[in-house]
Amino acid sequence: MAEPQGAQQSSGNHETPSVPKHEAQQQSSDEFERQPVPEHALLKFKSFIGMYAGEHCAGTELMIGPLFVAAGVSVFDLITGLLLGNALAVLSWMLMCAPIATRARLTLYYQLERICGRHLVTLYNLANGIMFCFLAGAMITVSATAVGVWFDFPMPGLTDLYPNSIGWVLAVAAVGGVIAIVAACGYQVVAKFANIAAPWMVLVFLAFGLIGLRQFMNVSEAEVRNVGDLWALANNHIWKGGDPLPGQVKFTFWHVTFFAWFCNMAMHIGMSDLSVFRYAKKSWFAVASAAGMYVGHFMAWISASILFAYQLHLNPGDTNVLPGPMAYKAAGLAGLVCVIIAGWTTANPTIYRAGLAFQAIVHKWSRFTVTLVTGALATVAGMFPAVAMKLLGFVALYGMLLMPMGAVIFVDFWFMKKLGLQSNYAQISKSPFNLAAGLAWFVTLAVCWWLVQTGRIQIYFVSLPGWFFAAVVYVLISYLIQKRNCALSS
Amino acid sequence: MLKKIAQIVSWICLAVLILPSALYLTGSISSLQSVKLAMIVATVVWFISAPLYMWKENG
Repeated sequence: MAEPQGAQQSSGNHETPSVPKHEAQQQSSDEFERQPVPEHALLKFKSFIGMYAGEHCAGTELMIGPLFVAAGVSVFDLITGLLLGNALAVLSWMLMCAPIATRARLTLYYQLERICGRHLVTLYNLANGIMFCFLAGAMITVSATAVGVWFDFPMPGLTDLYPNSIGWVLAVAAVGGVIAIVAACGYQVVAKFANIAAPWMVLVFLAFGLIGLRQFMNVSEAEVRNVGDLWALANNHIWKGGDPLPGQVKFTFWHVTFFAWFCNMAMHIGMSDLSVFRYAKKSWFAVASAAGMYVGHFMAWISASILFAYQLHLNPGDTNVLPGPMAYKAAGLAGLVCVIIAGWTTANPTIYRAGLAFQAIVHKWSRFTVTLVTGALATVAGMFPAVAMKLLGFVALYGMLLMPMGAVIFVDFWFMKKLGLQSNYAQISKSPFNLAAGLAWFVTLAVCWWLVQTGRIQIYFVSLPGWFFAAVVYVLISYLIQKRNCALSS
Repeated sequence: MLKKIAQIVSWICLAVLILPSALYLTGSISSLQSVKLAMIVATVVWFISAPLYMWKENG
């Protein structure tokens, strides 16, 4: 899962896909922040391929893959679910996000500001910033599990929600502290380093899978001569299906499909990547996201899940999802370095972005201070294994939280004028808070939350009906507000 | 010239990183320790050689 990105305040968010999003964000430039990207600044297709492939092979992949195994997924459900879900994610980028991006050529922030008004966008940034903190916390958790290989302290188990040892707290504090300081001081250096690490990291992930497969062949004494034999090995020993581990939700084909589709919901359906694809010459360039999906969210998840399945095969009682020890057993020091770097290089831009989001609210604080405080918050979050161990649910929640705003942008761009309503209403009415957009967001969240809490629908699926609900609410309330204001003004 | 050498070395590193695990899968290499050793050596050399030409490219 790539570190997501949200709307940024207008004080310095310029994203250029020729470098990764997080690096582009750092570039202090006022270019095209509040105007469409001009023709001469557009980028070629290959600029997007590397960016997506690198960004979606992150530290969190090392948690998500094993959690699929913990959820009792079967081989058929996993493979077909990932193939379909990732295809749907790519199509979401291609058909929902990129067509708007290449027509409007505006940042998400400016697009939202025109529709929602500055105050509502600030609220959106706050929500984004908080979620970034938790996500960065999960990445710090991943990196800290590598420290546990060197220092023998008790690490959290699959069902742990709170820190379970002083050693763990100190390890997370040390890792998170370093990440926060580096994000505040040397952000660009780490961003560059992340680019260099990306090809190496992808291959280490692949190596996890290859080594894990051989280990399974050795312990099961299975002969693998063809694809059929491989499938049988996977079905009988690796992804056996059946009941999930205690405290986990059972994952079916549909769970895997929807998770793969929605785990980056904030980016495609939620429209965060408007800021990226505004640089694309053609909307079909969004097919480049397939590089990220099928490298990070297919190969990397499968590889990471093999490591955990092997651990369970050797000792069914060892249900701890700890990327550090798992990677070390498979690939030695290189695996351990991969865990640290994967967590670090993805936590770094996430903390930075959270800082940007918060800075929209605390203008007087320096970027350095905000990033440092944000890093401290993320570190505290990382001490609690709840986020990392419940990452599947958290990612679904993250998508649900930002999805309504994607629906608002989509409807506003394509349908408002056709319905006889005014698009970009906040800009036209000079309102800092478009009530229609605000209510579409809040009411949708309230309804989705109620549906999930009352057990009517699981959080993994609720965002699909939620999107349509948000779209309808936005249109209806916009109609009421705009007609009333029309009547008042005449 | 240095850039070219760095590029070639780094590509070899990527090959050394993944080939042993592929050979381990096929059974051509039976020692996991050898695979781990090759991977860490390839990792170290990659992070020395790749920045020599990738650092500037990345901004």
